[in-house]
Amino acid sequence: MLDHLIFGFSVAFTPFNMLIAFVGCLVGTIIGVLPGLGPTGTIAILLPLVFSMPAASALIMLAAVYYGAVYGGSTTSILVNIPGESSSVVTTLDGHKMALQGRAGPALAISAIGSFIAGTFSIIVLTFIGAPVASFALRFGPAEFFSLMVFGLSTVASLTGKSIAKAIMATVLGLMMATVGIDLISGAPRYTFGNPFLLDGIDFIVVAIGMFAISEIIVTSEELRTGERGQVIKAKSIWVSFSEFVYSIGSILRGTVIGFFVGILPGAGGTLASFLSYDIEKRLAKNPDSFGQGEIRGVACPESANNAASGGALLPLLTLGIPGSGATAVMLGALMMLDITPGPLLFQKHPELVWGLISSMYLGNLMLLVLNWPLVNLFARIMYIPARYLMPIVLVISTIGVWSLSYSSMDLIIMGICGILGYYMRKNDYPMAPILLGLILGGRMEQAFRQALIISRGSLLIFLQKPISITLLIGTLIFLMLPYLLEKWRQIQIARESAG
Amino acid sequence: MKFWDKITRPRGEALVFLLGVVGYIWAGLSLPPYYRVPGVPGPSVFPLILGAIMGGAALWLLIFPGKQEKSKRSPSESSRWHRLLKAWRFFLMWGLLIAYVFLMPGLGFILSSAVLLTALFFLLGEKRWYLGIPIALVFTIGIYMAFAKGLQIRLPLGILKGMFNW
Repeated sequence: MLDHLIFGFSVAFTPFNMLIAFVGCLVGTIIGVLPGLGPTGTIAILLPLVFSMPAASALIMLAAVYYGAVYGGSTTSILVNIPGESSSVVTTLDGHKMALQGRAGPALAISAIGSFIAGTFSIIVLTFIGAPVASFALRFGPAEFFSLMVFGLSTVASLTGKSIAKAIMATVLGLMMATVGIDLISGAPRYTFGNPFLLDGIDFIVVAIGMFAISEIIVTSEELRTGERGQVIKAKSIWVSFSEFVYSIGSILRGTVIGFFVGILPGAGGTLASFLSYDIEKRLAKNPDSFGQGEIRGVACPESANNAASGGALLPLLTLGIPGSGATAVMLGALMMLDITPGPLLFQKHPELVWGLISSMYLGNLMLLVLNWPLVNLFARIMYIPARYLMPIVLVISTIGVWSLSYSSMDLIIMGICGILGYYMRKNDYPMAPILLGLILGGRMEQAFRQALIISRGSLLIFLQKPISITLLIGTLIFLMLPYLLEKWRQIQIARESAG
Repeated sequence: MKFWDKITRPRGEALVFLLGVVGYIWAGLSLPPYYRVPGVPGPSVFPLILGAIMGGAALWLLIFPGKQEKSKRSPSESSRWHRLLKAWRFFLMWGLLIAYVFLMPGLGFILSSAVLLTALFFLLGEKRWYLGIPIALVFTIGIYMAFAKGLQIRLPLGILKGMFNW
């Protein structure tokens, strides 16, 4: 283990890789501070930058951007009540209340400390159980992989959005988009309608930028007109007192553990981790009513959880090739474009990649703390750039990201269509994350499904005969039923309380 | 209750999805038979399963559109649509964005982006032309230099190609 780690440090500590890790952290933090542009969009925009780099350097940079964006996402949640990305939504509940009470400094500081502790913990765990999980993953055949992907999609579908039917429809829409292009098994062109540009399929970056960046600018214009955009509050102090730190340390540790293990679940990601940890923390608290009123633990816990989840999400990505979140889904696509297929053999075939990445993350976390803590006021000044300038410029840069994929007008047109679709979905409670995950996983999911059927000579029972597969399918059913069960439980609780 | 009153927005969406599913399955089944090999699941199998799941979810939404959506469209909602129709900025912004993605390759990055940025700055609330136009030009050229010259991304010059020999 130590040999691997030392080898990893020798890869990560080259001057070039240290520089790009620093640049990645810096860019990720800056963009994480921007409302609406989370890690997924940031990585998608920066993809053209990494294609000319060696694979290990490219992955180090993308990972640095990823955890930098997660790290910086809390700043806007706290200062202006606008989450930088989805996993920081829950931070607004107490973080912004603290800022309104003149405690923006302690809120930002505890967020930085919690993120550092959680990030470091998740890397240590990744170091020691990454390889064993990879060897366990070798037991996964096509049937198990198919069931795992069904499970991953169901966790997202069941926990995003208000309606399970809409979440399923969004997921299947993503899977349907993935069927466009040449079928890898038979060579048949599907859903191309004679258009040669569609033979390669629909690129996930085109869909991601269309749905997020284009719809964002329209939503921004609406918010500017209705005055829903928050006002920037200047932080008075960036220090947290020792007593506040001691008071919050339990929450940080609980958030870290919950976040890491939820982050491992394919498709769950930081958003779910932050919500779950906040919910559990509130239930464990002696004074749950203080949550939502400017409780420092209400910031410490979800911020630790979403950063631990960002480390945890790398585990299924590297060992199984299954993205744990939208951002790692984009990273998976980037790796595949670099001719590297993440999965159980990655640790054997590309040790410099995996161990270089893990080692660079130790350094990256330290860089992030150094960047975030003293410079948080400086980063927050980005918020002073008026949205009327910021959002159009971000849109133009995003469009370059799409254009650079294949220099094709068709990509831009699909981006425009996805923009309209994304806007409609945002306005009508259709979750967008499942579409992206469906599109990313669709091709591999179909391949695993058909390979399993070839092995079983066409019998669907293969998915029920393999123990891992049947366990995952039962898990899928539970996750899909979960929202209904939770709702029923909540109704019973309310009925009991009103009766009492 | 009249038939049209029952067609709430979720139900309308469900109908659109159902129509889409029919088209998707039909296109999947119309693949030439020579792509099918005996004993191997063909290229239509997975799309058929996806179509069935999507159809099931759309039917579910059609039958159970949700408690709030069952009610008749409220007057406030119709006035919201009325306001939306009056919001010419909303439609102009969409028109600009769609025109940008269609026309950028032909008109060129610099020209189309400068026009788009200027227009969006004004649509998003900038009223000072002496600020909006220079900022749009500076950022367009800055972004072009950074991406086209710095990162070697081939951005189209379009109709400016003959004017600048960059």
